[in-house]
Amino acid sequence: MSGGPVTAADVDDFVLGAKLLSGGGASHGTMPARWLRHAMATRGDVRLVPPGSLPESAQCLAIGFIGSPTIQSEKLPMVGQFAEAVRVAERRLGHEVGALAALNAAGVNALAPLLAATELGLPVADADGMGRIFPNVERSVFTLAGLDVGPCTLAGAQGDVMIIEPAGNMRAEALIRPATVALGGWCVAVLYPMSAGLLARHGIHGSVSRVLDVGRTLRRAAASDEPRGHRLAAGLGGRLLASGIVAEVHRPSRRGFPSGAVIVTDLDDPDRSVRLETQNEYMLALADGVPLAAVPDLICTVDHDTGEPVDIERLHYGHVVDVITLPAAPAWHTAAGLALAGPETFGYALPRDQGDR
Amino acid sequence: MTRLTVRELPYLKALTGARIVAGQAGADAAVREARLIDHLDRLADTPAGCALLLTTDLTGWAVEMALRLAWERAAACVIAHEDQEVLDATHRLADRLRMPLLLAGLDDPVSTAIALGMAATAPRERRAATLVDLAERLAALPQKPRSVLGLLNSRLPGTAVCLLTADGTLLAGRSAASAHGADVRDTVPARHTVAEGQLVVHPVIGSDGGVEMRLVASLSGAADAWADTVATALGLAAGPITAWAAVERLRAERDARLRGTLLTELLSGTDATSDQIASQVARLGWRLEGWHTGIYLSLADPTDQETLVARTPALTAALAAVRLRGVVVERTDGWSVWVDHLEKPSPRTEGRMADRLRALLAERPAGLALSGGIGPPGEGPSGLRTSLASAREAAVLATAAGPGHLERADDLGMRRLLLTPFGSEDFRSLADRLLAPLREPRNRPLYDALRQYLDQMCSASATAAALGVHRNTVATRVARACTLLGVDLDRPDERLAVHLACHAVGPPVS
Repeated sequence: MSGGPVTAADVDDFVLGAKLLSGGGASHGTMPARWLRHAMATRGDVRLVPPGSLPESAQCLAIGFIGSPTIQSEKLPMVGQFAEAVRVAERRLGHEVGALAALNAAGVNALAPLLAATELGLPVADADGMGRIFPNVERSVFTLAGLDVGPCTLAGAQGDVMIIEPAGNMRAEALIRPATVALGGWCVAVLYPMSAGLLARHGIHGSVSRVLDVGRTLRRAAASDEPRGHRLAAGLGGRLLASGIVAEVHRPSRRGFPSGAVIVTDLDDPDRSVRLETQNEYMLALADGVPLAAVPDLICTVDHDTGEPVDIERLHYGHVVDVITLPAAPAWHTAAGLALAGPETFGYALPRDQGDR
Repeated sequence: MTRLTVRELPYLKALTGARIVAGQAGADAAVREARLIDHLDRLADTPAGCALLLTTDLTGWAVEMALRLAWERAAACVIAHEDQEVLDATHRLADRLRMPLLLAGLDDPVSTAIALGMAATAPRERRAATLVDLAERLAALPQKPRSVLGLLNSRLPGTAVCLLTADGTLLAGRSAASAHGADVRDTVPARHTVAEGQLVVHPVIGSDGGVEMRLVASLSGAADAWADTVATALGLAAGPITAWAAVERLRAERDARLRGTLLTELLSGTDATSDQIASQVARLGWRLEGWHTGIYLSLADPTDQETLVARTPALTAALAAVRLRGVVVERTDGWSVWVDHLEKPSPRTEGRMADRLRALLAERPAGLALSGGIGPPGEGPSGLRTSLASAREAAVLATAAGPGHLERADDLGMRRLLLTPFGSEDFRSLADRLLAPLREPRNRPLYDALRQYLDQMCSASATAAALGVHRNTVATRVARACTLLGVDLDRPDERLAVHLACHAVGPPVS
């Protein structure tokens, strides 16, 4: 549906799709959806345009939130926070911004470019840098293309703005994380400044409209009485790994990031167990010791009965879920892509012949 | 050459403390070599029969993948670091694949892998090392069943060992092994397959050449190779146990002899016991003052006499179980027993003691067919002597009645005469005493009628004719005489006793 406007009527579907695409990542409450609905109701629809339709030299920026969604729900955003960040970035870059892109069109971050667009009246290029959630800003197809993440402009909810120019994309996270803490736990981030031409060449196309498509597919599936499972997976362009009962939820609390494992026992074959390894998001799915799917591909869980996406935090023993995997953008399956965001980079040293499925 | 099996791995020194947490069904697989795995890639060229040691990097999901890859490559087992939480799902996977999963300390995985590899290529040497270690420890231990069984159970992990008596009673060791062992009756070293695995049995032969005890080891589905090691280990352990049994037997016989001699002294002695006897009595913990009830237990089957000394502890325990705690002394054909009382026992107490003893005899205590006599309570050494003597007299009558019978000396009455030699002074005086009620002048007709009646083979008519009275008069007089004496002429032994007594006290006065 690339090219059409996103309207207030689309917000619910968009949020639903963003939630599924978060791959089990932390839920973010209702605040961002209310924020987007309010912004669209007061300032109008958002134009979503294919990156190729923009003038080659138009200045584009990747927009997202960095930090804790939980803190965001408590320390509410400032009016004009996006506009402030983009204005500071424009001053630093010396160009007016022509269009906004998503840092990653998944989870709460999928909403960021839309919110920014309502504040700035700019179009949103239908492309992003990840196609899913990654915990670090450098894990993007832009990094694969050799584009600089900086200058990075961060705007906090108290009116503070910081510009960070990392010496390289790999240094960005180390600088941005402490800055985010200083900015109040979360911030609006404007990253990867680039021309529309570069965005069209290197970005993951259609990833913003995909959020809406996924949301619509989920809503239709939830409304239908027909069995979901395979049908839903196919409708989403993915694969069903299992429909089963959550038998174990293991949440060790030793390391910094919430990591753990979820065991789903297949409804049809109780001897078959699917093990989902988690680190904020689902990272790896194994069935009886055989890898079924692994990061960078997306793994998600959907309530088997309601069709609602279920995040890891809310999974519990006895929950009946469909485990679905959606393929990552092709760029992630190149050698360079796997070296940046493959299973091994998350600590899953799979055998070479099984590392990329 | 018999291969090392997965089940034996926890018995390796290098894997001490390791346990097979899942996939037990595959634990009989042979281990041909060992590999250290620090990346799942290394599993690609794993040969069959390999034990895979995972480094600490490989935990959780990687253990599951390793199990799967190990299964695909027919590896022997997966050994992972124990410092991790293994999910139920991992256990289930190992069980389903029948791929044993072991958790071990693995502080030095390289050395462990080398030791494991050596053990896999030279299992005989490793078994020899286990047995030498066991033999050295056995030699250093006190020769007691508890110590020996404790050692076996600690050095033969995964194997429950117990020591049973010939009839299957647990003497020492783990009761887990005794469940099956109780039915074992092997007289030579043997092995049995049971539902949960194997039993390895090693009989301990007594001095008479028969089986005195059995060492029984229970192995959970273990490999034959390990059963070989266990069988040899039991053989090693049988030595100290045989020695212990012999020492115990000697000690018991020495004690029995001391007790028997002392009791003989007491029974034949006078009230004034010598100082020497008194000190020996004290050393054995016997108490001669106060009240005693004497008991005599007589063996119904004379062939049991050989085991008399050996059965004393069991019999003592059986008596104690029915609250007859006392001194038990071996005699030639049974045991003299006495129970001490703080004060004179009431007739009610006596009756209850007799009831409990009667019930005990009926169920063959310590596996023995016994008949018994119980004496009246007596005070002091002389009272004890009398009570024991009465008990023995009663036991003679009980033995005649058959095994399981108990006679109370107090109930013997006239029948006591049957135990006394006819014509002796004792007999004469006892008969006098027993017939005293009839010897009063006014009861003379009753005595005459009774004696004549017995002489006439209990014919009232003949008696009437001989005495010149009516037949009904005879019947009445005989009945009154029996009432006065407390005897029942329908009982042959009582009738005989009365008849003998009548003849002892003298001729009838016609």
